[in-house]
Amino acid sequence: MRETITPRRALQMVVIAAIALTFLLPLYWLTISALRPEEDIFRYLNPFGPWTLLPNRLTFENITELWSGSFSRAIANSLVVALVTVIAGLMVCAPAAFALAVIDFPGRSAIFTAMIVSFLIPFDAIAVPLYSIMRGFNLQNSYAGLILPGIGNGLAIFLLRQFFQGIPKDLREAAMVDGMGWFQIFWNIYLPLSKPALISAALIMFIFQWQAYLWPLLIAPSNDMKVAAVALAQFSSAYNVSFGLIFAGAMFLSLIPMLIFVFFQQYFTNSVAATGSKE
Amino acid sequence: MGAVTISNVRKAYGSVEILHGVSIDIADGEFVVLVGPSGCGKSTLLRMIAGLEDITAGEISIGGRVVNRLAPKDRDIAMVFQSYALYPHMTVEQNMGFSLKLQGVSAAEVKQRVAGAATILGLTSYLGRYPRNLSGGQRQRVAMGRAIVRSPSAFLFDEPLSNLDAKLRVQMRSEIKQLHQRIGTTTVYVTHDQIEAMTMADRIVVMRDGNIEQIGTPLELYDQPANQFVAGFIGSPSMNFISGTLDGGRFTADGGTVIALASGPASAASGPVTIGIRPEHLRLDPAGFPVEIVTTEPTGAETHILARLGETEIVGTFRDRLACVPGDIIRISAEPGHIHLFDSKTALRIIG
Amino acid sequence: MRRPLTFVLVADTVANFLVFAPVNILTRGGPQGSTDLIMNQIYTNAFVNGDPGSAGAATVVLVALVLAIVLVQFRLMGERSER
Ligand SMILES: Nc1ncnc2c1ncn2[C@@H]1O[C@H](COP(=O)(O)OP(=O)(O)O)[C@@H](O)[C@H]1O
Ligand SMILES: [Mg+2]
Repeated sequence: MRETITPRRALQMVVIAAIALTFLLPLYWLTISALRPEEDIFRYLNPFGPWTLLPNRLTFENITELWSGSFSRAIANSLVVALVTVIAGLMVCAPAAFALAVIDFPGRSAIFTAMIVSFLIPFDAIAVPLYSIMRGFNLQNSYAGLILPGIGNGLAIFLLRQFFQGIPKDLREAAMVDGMGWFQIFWNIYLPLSKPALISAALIMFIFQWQAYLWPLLIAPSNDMKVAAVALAQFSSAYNVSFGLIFAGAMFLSLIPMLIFVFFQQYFTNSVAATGSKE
Repeated sequence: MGAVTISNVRKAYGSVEILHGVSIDIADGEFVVLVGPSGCGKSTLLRMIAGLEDITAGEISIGGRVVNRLAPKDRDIAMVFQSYALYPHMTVEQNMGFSLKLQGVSAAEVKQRVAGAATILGLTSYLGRYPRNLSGGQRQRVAMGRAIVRSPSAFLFDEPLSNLDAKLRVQMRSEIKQLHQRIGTTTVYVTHDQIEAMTMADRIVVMRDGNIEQIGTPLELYDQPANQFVAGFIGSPSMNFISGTLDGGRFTADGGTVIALASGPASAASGPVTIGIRPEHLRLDPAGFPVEIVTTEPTGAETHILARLGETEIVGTFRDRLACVPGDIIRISAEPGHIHLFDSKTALRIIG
Repeated sequence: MRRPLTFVLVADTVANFLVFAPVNILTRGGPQGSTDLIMNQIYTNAFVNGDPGSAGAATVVLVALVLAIVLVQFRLMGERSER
């Protein structure tokens, strides 16, 4: 099928491409800056010229220096925290969302409302009091301290609940008649039909941990336990700012979630197509 | 075994009662159709049998066992939904075999029983397909297959044919009936379509507004409707009603026309009555009462006419080919033995 | 589209309501408090100035403020996402 390109459509496409470029430009600049010698990074900014956006010298020295330091440990910490949060979080959020979407129990709407409020309040707002509590459990500088606040994610629960509610009631009634209990319905019917929503929820939780700054700064400041975002911030101290390292670190910090997203986006579209039928 | 007993069952949502004490005895192996206008509570009753709705009051038993407090999976029933409710992520084979797998039946036996059901339903070559790749009629068959592999005590159908086109509906109607004749499982079938009810049922339960109006075989309902509602609901085109007064065996319509009735105890009553005449029981008769033609619809085999007797519209079905145009007056009469009498106040049949 | 749009609106507003990292990393609230935002102030009070009491008080004010905004958002959504 070939679409005929009307002037209107062409204009739309140009505008869309321009918007996409606007979003990509900072990422591009980040990447080339990471690959430039440190002294070149700001050199061509003013006046604006071809060398502002085209690197004339490329080097891996920032990157090698970055990985030779403690940053690799911090990236590993971030990955562990984010991945464990995603797995444990799905194990908690998906059943919770199922119960809220499907099972009629007393107090359901009160719990649901409380949950919505919980994610409408930014996490950072409660970080300081939460820190006192966690310190009471001796969870400073531990993975548990970093991971626990990310597991019960109100937004992920909300998203999954909305998706589960869209699955026709007949399907679960047929499953009941077929002999399934609640857990089996959840496991055999709802989860396999909800891959797109599960992936979205997983991404939300991943990003929540990946971009967390205040909380890890409070709960896990030690050199062994600090996460990548905190490590990155510490490349700029009052006495010394190493922009080469900052750009290299920022590049990896952006690259990793981007790769994950691109990978899952394909899968995401596939599973939407697979369950896209009316029944 | 599969007898289903419903005694004095009520259903209320909050303070609104929508089933007002319903009792039906369904024998083992019987095919019972619940029929009635949309919203009369048929689905609700069926879902109460299935265990998908609580029973507010009364008792339901299946195979001699009271099931009020049992979960659907413990009731030994299978249900076919209007939407078919096939699991979209499972193949036809998996859809049909899933309940057996849950019961712990061995994989080999599941395969064998699914294959058996697939043969009966003509689904053998579709076992590997997903529901989205099937036509409406095939999905419908898979939904039935999912029910029959389990050999339950009873099948429950909720308007299973209403998503199919007219031709397929007629075909599936007879397939379901043949299936029942073959495996003989007790069946409760819900529909709003009286033709489905008439053609499929051993016995029909006519419902209205949460009450049972009449229970009987299709011909009992056709021949002896208990009240004016059943009389009008069963049969197509619907029965004609003419109100008037009865006086010593003589019926005078409100417009003054006299219509002859068969003599008998019923016509011995007197007072305001409504008579009911099915369109197929009218015939052309030079000695009959005059009506004015409104429209004629020749179908080839029969001619349908819509005519007017005073203010009342009357539908007639005639074998004869009528050569008449709107405005013509023709004379018709009803076979006296086929005239139904209803009390004008209570709408109940006057027994006779 | 109305529901997804409200959803994005809410999620985004909330995400941007409290900004901490840029303030903390880039300016530390300076010069002379001109770029200070509430989260950084709470953090500085609690962990730099060693005054958890005033940080706690500020947190209470903050949460109350956010709750008020959340309530307004609930109203705006109009439909508490019922089917
Ligand atoms: N969950 C419910 N809450 C309140 N009323 C309901 C509910 N389900 C059905 N009803 C009402 O019960 C009546 C009967 O419904 P239903 O059994 O579906 O009718 P039918 O299948 O005969 O068309 C209808 O008036 C309907 O509005
Ligand atoms: Mg119904």
